[in-house]
Amino acid sequence: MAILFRYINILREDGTLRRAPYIPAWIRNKDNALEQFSALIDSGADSCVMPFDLAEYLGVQQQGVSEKTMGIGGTVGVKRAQVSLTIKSQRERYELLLPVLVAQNSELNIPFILGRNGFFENFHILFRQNELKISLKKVAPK
Amino acid sequence: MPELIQMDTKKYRGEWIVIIDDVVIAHNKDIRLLKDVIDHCKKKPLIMKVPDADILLY
Repeated sequence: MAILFRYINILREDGTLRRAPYIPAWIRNKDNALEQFSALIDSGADSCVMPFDLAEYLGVQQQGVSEKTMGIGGTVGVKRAQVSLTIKSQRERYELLLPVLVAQNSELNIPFILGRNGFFENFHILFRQNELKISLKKVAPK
Repeated sequence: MPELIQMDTKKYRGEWIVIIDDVVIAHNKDIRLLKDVIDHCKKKPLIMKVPDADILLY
């Protein structure tokens, strides 16, 4: 079975709508409790990226060495970490250990991004753009 | 997921919002400052960063 999510709609300042493939992502915090966040599925991103304040809020343990990574917005310092991520519907539930890059610039205004490495290996992901839906079918990573 | 099309989120651009039953109950630019609100929610909220239109990434 595949889990189907509808794109969410966000009003722009000019009143027009932006539609984007955000899904509910449950992440374990440092107290082992699950909290629900909206995450952007981004097939153009190599890695999963977490904003700095979200990582601090969750108590995510970050590795000590800061690295540089590049995005459309420019170069940003990141630290590697892992989080326990759960994707679920009423019928299905999948928990995986997700490698993430934690952006070190707290001013960087990004959502929680689910990129390819660590996430896309676990699901067959279909962007049904004409229907404004996205489906995730769990597969075994190779 | 809540139907954000029904919600006027543009005033929260660049902020984290805490949503329960399609209602924004709190917002802040720094999610760490929302911890008390989130911890005292009677049901699990959805927490979302509202995209900033000036960011090309999304």
